[in-house]
Amino acid sequence: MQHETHQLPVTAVAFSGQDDILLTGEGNYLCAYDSGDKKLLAKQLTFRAQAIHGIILCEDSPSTGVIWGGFLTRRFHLDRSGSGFSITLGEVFSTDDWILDAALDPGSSVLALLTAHNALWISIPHTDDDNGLHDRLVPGSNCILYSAHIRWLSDSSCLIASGTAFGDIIVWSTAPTQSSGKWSAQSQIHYTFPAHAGSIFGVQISPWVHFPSSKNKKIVLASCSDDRNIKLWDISDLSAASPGLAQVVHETGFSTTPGGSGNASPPLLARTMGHISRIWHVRFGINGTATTLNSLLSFGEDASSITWSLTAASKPTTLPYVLNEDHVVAAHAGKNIWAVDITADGAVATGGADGAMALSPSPEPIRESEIPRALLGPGGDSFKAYGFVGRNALLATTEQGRVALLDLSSAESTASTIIAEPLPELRGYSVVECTAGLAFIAGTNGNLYSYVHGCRQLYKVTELTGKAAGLFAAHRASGGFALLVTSVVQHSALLLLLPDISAANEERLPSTQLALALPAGFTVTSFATVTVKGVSYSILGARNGYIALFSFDGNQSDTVRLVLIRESVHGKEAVTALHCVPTDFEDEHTYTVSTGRDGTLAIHRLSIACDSVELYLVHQLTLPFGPNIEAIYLTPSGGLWVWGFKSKHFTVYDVVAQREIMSVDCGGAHRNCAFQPSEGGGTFIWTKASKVYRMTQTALPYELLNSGGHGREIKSVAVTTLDRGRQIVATGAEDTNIKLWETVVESGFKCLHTLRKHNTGIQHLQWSTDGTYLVSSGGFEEFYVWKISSGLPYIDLGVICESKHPRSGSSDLRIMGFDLPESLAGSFEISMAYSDSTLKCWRYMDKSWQLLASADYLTACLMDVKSAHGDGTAVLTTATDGNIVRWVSSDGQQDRQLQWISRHKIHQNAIHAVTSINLTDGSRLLMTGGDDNAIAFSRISEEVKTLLIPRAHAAAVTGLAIVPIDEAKFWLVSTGIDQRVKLWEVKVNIAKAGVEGIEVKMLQDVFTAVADVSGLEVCKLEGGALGVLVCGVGMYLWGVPEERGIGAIRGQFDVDLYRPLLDLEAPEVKNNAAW
Amino acid sequence: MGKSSKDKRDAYYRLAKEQGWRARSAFKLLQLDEEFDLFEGVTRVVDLCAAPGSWSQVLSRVLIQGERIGRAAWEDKRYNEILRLREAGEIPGPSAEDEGPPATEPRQDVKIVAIDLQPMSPLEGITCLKADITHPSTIPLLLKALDSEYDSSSTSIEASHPVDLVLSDGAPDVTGLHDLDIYIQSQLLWAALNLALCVLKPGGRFVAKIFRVKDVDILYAQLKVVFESVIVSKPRSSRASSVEAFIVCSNFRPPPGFKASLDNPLGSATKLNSSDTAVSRPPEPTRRVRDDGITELDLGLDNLDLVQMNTRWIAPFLACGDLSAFDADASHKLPEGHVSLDPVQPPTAPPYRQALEERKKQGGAYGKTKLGDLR
Repeated sequence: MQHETHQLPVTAVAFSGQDDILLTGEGNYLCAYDSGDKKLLAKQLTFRAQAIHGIILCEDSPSTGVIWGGFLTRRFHLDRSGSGFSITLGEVFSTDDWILDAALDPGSSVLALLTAHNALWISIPHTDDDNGLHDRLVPGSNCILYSAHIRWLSDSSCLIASGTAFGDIIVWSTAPTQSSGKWSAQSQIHYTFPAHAGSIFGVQISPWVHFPSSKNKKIVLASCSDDRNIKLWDISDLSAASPGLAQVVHETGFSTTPGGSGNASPPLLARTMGHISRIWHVRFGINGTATTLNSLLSFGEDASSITWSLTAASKPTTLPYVLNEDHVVAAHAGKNIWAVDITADGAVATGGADGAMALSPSPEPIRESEIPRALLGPGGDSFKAYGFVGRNALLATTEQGRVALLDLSSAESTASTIIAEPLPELRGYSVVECTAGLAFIAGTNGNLYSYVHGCRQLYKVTELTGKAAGLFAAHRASGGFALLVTSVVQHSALLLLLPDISAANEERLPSTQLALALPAGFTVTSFATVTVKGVSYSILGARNGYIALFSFDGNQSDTVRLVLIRESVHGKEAVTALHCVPTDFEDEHTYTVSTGRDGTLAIHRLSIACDSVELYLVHQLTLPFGPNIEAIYLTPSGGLWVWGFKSKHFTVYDVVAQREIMSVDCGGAHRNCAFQPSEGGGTFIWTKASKVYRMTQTALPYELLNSGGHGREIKSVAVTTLDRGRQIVATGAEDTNIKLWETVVESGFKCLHTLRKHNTGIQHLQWSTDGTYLVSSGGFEEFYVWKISSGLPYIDLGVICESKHPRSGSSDLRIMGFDLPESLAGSFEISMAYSDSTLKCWRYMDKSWQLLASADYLTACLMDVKSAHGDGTAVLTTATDGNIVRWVSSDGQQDRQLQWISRHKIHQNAIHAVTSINLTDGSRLLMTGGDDNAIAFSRISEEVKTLLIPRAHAAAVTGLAIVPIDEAKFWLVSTGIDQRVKLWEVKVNIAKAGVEGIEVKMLQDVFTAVADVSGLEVCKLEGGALGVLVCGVGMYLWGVPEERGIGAIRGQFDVDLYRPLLDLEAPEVKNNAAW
Repeated sequence: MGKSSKDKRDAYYRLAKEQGWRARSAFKLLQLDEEFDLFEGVTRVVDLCAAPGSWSQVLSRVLIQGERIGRAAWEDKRYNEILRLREAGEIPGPSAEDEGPPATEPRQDVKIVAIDLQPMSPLEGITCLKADITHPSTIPLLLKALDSEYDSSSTSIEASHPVDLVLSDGAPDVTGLHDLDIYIQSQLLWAALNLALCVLKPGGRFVAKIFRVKDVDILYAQLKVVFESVIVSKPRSSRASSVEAFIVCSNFRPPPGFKASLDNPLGSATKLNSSDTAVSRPPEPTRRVRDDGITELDLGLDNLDLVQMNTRWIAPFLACGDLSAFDADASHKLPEGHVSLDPVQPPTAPPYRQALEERKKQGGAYGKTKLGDLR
């Protein structure tokens, strides 16, 4: 089994300090990324069955370093030769305990390692003239630590902070020395004190640093804990010292008076509470060459990192320093930032449980600033309406009726030009519509103006019959503009077709004016135009979620027809933005993209043939923010941005890249605002409490080197092949989301969409045979049918939730499993297994549901259901009582009867995995994996005979998949909570009775870094070979070897099996490297 | 989730409240006892990581008050009733859960000591110690509690009257970093085992919570060195979705010359060497047809495992609690007229209690956990 690609929690990160290389520990792989172009340079297997938990690099030689994980440690070297990049590894060394921290001495030779029982190990590589060393120099204590930090204060001594499970911190130092060939270490304890009310999850010792408004340098200790506190301690005074470590634990368990008031406690400098859950790490933000400590960073279970600014306290009675929350970066999905590193110039890298690697540049937060009213001219004028007419060019109307152009090109200040002194018709009321280089303005009396940015001039376009309620402009494919003017009184709108007046063109009057009769209750909120086969269409979105389509022939320009109206496009919520994909002349269809205040982005296919116009919904998914989604923007580089509001924040999101671009705390939706997108963000202008603010972001707050996956463990996986052999993987997780992926071995897993609709963790996923439907189940009887189509503009794959089972959300039952047998397109008979032991069969057709049959098993929770073939049974179920149960169905007059006819106790308790293969004699071989560690092969014909391997895995078997070989033989791949993937050869001689003809032999047994494995699927790799996708906490794709290659690997397996010790041997040992 | 829906989701949560257990985990011990006869002839027991005390409660009721708590306490009568009626061709109906009062038969000279870091409400006849099981100072405390005549000035750390059974239901607060959680749980198991080695009589039993996860086979192999029989068992009251199981180690047989000590505990750093030696020979699969007709395929790895006794060995697995016991994973129909009760003991104060209170003062919600009184 060969590693192809993976997506695993990032449990270690380190900046290499040269060539912008960032190193990560992903499971037992050490990966090197180019942080500039975000490409993976190399990945190297390190430990055989242990994830990497820490990476450090030598300060003087940044291409060498050390990794550690569990009890193991290993040195490495990065080799860059020409365009190639590789990682070579040194010998694996084992300690006798969990390694919490490691640090190299300034000469990069002596590696100090601290273990979870506070023992210090020293590791020195052996060279030609030195035998090297790998030994425990300071014995540990009984108290278990959750965190430790080692800082070398000189060439020969290091200072250590050890954070215990019980809230104490021990600060001690040790000096490893060599005399006459023997190493020893003297150690001294400086402080032992109760620091927190909960386990200490992070400690960090600073170098000697200056403090704000303090002359003396200090050594500071930062700590964070289960108790949600971050504390800073002054440990500069290392004069107090007592020898020995054994006596340090003052008493057992938590001490009664936490808070740092004890005798041995160092002075507490600052304290703050942060994060909504546990805090895993703290780091000092010491900027560049400056040696003043002015910020602190913390990283938490809440998957966010917070930058704190450190200032001297103003009140003398409190602690001497204050930590204030400066800004928050939330780059990761779900829970937990596991790994962090920070450079001297303040760049921060975080690795998340979601598998993402986020890189934040130096934390130079962008500040909002007010645009002063005085810019609008004398008389205390104020902003009315505004919009962007160009980059950094904001056109605004004022309360008094002025028109002003604001120049935002300077980040520090805003300049203004008054375009028009107060116009009476704009006083107190004005509407403004801006597009690139052009704006339209209307007031109370019907005068419609255009502002042409090229000449900074206002022109009168026409005179309307009344006050305009709204202006909507759109570019026309034929050139020029369409402007839709809605009125406050009439159920009609005026469509003006204008030449390209942004050009220096004399002609600025509308060529055509058309009246559109709006349906009752249709309040226009968005507008777009498109031309198909020479006919122009105007598409209007309404406040009540409707879309209306009007056509007008270019030649007979006075006839406008309402050709289509569609309700509930965005539920009952406003359609806030519309965009039509431009067409070529031959195209008979196009697509419309819309956003709404229902929090979704929708794509419709607009089909025009022989006078019939149809609008088909092909994509509609809830976005991760909202529900007020306000606009659509296509970026020059192929991104699809949408923006809107999420509680108090204005948020810009890229639908294609599936990431947040920008977030501004503006107070929430329902306010005047304007946004001008640009590379790396854009400029946002908003009104808050009658003041107008601006904020410009020119670079993304963080880059994702590896965009990551689910925020929690995957519970179900299903693979399908679309037309033209394209393979899509669907995963459903405990984070309630479903993700669709494409597997690209080169670049890993590419997430195409995230389906956010379930309110509970996903229980089961299955594709229809042709890949056009994906069906998902969860708790609370949630059950959804998703329709998938491909070839859409911008997003390629379209997803809609075609139907939701009518009982979704109606009870607290979980739908543990279901089966969707092959059937006619769009119509299914679905068997569902419920947590209360009931089995139901439903017919789904055309978005309608019909209960065909329902029956109870016993009281045990059903785990899964499989449709049966051939032997007369309708379905088979598995349950937590270890039985497989055969059911028959009989068609009655009115309804169908479902009844179980036999139960077979195969496993001792829950059956977690089931798969089957049909044998040529009509019998069926059912393979099951149990919580009882067993794998069973049950041959089902009239009777059921079982062959059981009781200790197939060391823990529950949770995944099984079949690799077909030939008629008499197949491979079974099994996996489980023991994090092993096993390949079994199964030979079947059908001529023999029962299971007598079934021979099973284990071929391979490999470690997988995926914890909490919930399942596996066989899939195709690029080039046609087969792969096995293991899912759980992350995903891991193995290549299945060719059958002829198995022999050689079997030999390797034997070596694995007979290997006498834990993990001391690495897969590839390169000895005697002198780094 | 409301109280009532939790009752439906988890039958044992409801039963624990109805039968006055401090936690649903009481049923895990009861079901283990049903399978392994843990309390047979047992009078001296140490309960480690005991808080909130449901296992001690079981010990108190079974050993001190002499109650016989049979499977009636957790039997899902519908399961067997449906099966029985199916045979008879009838439609199953609701069934009563009430049973008569249990018979009592108190035992003589019972001594039970419960230890936890957290304070624990007192229980009749049980000595509760607030102590850290990993700390050497706990041993004299424990020995003193077991035998009042124990001289704590003596250097002996071996019990003059050893105990029959050591229990541990301890689990750490998991972090979500699986490797680390597995390590911490293994350390808790080692701590419990080290204490057990100091007080357990030869032939005694050790029952502890274990996570059936990566590398659990290393733990099994180590336990097998000091106990004749090591079986990993999962009670029906423990959810199938949880990695939790219980290791039932029987017939304690300390290796010759072995001296237990918490100053030099077994665990990651110190390992036991097996005296077993066997000739290495390749595994030979064998087949055996069991009484129930299932053919068992033994891959023959046990022989090999004797060689590797120090490394990995998969302990036999045994599900316990009859299948007719309530299924911890199933959604259950509540009995008619069901009244949802309050938990017997509210959760104790978490370390972030102060954070909760500070956040509350600032007007923000910080979870809805209702806390017990600070003691």
